[in-house]
Amino acid sequence: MRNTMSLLAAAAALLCAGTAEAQTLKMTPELKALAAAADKEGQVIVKYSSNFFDGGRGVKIYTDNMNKAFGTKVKVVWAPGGSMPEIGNEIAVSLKNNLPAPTDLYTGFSRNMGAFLKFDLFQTAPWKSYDPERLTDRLIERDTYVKAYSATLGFSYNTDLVKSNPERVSDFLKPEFKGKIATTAFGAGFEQLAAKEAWGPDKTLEFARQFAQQVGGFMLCPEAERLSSGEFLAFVTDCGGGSMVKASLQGAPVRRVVTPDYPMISYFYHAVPKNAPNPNAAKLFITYLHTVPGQLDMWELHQNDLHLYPESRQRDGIQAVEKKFGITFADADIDWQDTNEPGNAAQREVVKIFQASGK
Amino acid sequence: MFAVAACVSVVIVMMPLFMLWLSLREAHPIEPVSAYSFLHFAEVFGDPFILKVLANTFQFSIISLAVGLFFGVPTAWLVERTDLPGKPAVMTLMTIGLLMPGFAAAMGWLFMLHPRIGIVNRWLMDTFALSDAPFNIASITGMGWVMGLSLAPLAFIMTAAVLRALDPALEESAHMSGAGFFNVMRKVTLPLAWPGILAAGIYIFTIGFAAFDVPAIIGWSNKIYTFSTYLLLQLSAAEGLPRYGAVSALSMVVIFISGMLIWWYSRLQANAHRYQVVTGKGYRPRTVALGRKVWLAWGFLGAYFTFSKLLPLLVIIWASLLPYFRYPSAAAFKTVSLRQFQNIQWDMTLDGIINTGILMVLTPTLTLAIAVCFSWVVLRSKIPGRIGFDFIAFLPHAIPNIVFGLAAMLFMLFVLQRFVPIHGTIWILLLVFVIARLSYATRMTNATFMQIHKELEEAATMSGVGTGIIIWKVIIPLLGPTLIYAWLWMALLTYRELTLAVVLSTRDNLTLPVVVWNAWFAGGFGSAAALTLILMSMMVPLVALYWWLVRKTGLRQA
Repeated sequence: MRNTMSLLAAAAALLCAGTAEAQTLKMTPELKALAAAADKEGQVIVKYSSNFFDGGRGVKIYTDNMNKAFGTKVKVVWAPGGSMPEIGNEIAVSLKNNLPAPTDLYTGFSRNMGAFLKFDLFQTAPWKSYDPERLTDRLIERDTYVKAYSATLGFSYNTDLVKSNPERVSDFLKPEFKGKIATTAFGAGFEQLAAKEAWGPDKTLEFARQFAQQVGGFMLCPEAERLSSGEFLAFVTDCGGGSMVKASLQGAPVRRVVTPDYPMISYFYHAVPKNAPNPNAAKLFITYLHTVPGQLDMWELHQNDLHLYPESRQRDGIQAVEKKFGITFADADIDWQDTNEPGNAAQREVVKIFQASGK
Repeated sequence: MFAVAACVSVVIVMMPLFMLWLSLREAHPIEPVSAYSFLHFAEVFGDPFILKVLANTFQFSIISLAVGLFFGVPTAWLVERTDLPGKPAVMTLMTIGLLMPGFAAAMGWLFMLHPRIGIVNRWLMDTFALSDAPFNIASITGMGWVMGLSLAPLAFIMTAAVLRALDPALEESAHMSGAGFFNVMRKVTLPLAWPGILAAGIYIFTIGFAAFDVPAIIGWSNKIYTFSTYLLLQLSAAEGLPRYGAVSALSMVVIFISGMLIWWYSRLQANAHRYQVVTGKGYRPRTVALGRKVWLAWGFLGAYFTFSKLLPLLVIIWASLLPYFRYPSAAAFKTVSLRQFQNIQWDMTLDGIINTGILMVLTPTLTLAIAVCFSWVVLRSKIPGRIGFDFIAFLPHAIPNIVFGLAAMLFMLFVLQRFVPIHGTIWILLLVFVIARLSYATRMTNATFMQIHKELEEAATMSGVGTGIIIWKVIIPLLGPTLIYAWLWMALLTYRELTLAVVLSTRDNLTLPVVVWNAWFAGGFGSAAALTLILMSMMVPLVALYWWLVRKTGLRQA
């Protein structure tokens, strides 16, 4: 009887502890102060693509889960936006004119962030003090930029129509793909292939000349339907492939492949504009996205997460490629972008090659 | 009248001037200091590929124009000048075409006639054991066909008002002189309708030149660039800030081309009196009895509605029921569900409905009021340089929407925001929508003004009536049918306006097309198709109102 009572008591304690853990994460004093300040602001405006919010569904999920985690009442407000350069431009213009930024939170690829460095658009924050266990030195750059999610170079293909299991970008030079594959008009990913750590500019440009003859058309990054419908057999390279993974999870005959051709992991970053209307709420939201529930939310809604975390869904795929091809993916962070100007220049040439192959 | 036209003109002129400034400024506008030169022009036109892009754009625009006029003008003639039964239904069906977003129609056609996945192509290949697809929508001709079909209603509405107002006396005189039907059509009817047809032609050509959705979905996916998709490529810089300088330089070419078209149109206006057909004497249009040829007419109209509306709509319905698009098969039917409809985000959709509703009422009302002022100044006043106002009114049409929206956004941020803080609100959309639609509205009011003889106003003036009363009691009633058409048309154009709304969108000014566009980017064709169907069904009351209005006011007999 005593044992039974003890077991029941232990179970109740565990249940209570579990419930408390589910409702409010462990918070540092700095994070508590941030949460209080964010509560006063009441909302965080996020101007970003619909993918991040799964077409709007994510607004409520992020709002509910963040407030559950921190015990706050902050509303996440989504403002559908343009491309990363366009939103960055709006921030820059508004800052120059002493106007509030159109968004509290900017998300940009490492290359965008590198290009924006000279404009000094974003504010610093004691990020690590908010969550010392998660927001570590490896994630924070210049006390300003926070790695948001990992981006691997890869491609996607229709599994009903492609049976050869391509693993490398060069596999798409085979005759069977001629005129039946797509890429982006702006040469996404080719600056990475042209990096000195990968193929280098010369090999990339030679490849691009042959590859352009194989390409049947251009796609936008999220157009998974063009693959699942069979309009194109493959999308090479595929802007990180989040939409393709999503389509695959929904049952479409699409497979996303991380290629070993570029042995680096790039990142998308979060940053808070200096003229953000609700800077504390933005910082709190970023901090939430780095919690375990935040990472799970991002994966569920966006099919992206940070592979540096053990619970990452991208991590397994990356490690599988490392094991299979005997490579170790290195970090391509903002500072690295400054070293890749030859790669960026090669990409500009690739775009011209793609254009010239047009009708 | 003059004051309104002058104030609006200043705002309009500032936009291209701002773009000209951007095109000459070497550095990005946020850089405090910059040199000025033709660097961006050299950069853009130093690339030989631009010639190919411009050639593609011309070809695409001409095919769109031909297809649009091929279906639009005969339909207008059938509705306005014959005894075709069921005219209100035809007029209503023509308006429904606008309810289908351009990108949805483009996707529909792609899924019907794509050489690899097109349902029709695959069916024909399977049935007749063909080795190659008989049709290829993925070509400039295919793009022009799709664009032309969506522009035919515009050709219809722009020429219908002209055909409705033709003086029957001239045609009857020709008949009395022994001329046959085709001779009367060739030598009397068409020359009289020429200003309206030319106005529609100019307008449709420039729409084709700046069109984005069809070239983006069909052309881009097949490596065919037109001006707008090439321009978007320049805007979508892979690194750093958008290349506004190069984009502005490129846009100057289109403004120049449109300027030439306006010059041509202005030459026509100089001879406007030769086309005046509505006078104070016994005006009543004559209708042609179709007899047995009514079946031919219905066959023509049926073909148009099948191609332009029914088939893409069926494909959209099919797509909305699938998790991802598939060729109809037993396996595909097993996946049919309403999941795409269940996943719609209603909070944003409702915001979009409210904002779109406000804009649909205010945009055409304001635009038409301003357009009447412009037409009066251009065609009735004696103000020196008045033709310049018509040039200015057409300028917004000459600037591609995507660039116009960007120019408006930057102009607001850099110049006006400190004085008129409307950036990010629905009011900036209203301002930009009104300016963007002014060219269309003035084409409509100009064409009708041209056909209203001055003797009506002169008679009123002789009776001691002032200008304001003349406009209210004489001009507006004569413009009435045109204004009603134009109002409804612009309301529908506002409903589906995407490019400007996307460029200027914030969470506070979302419109329905932006919600659909975002759904497209989030979930693909299926979710966007579901949302499109819901939005189209929401427009049923407006279409019903239009139909009722057409029947009640007897516009078909006006």
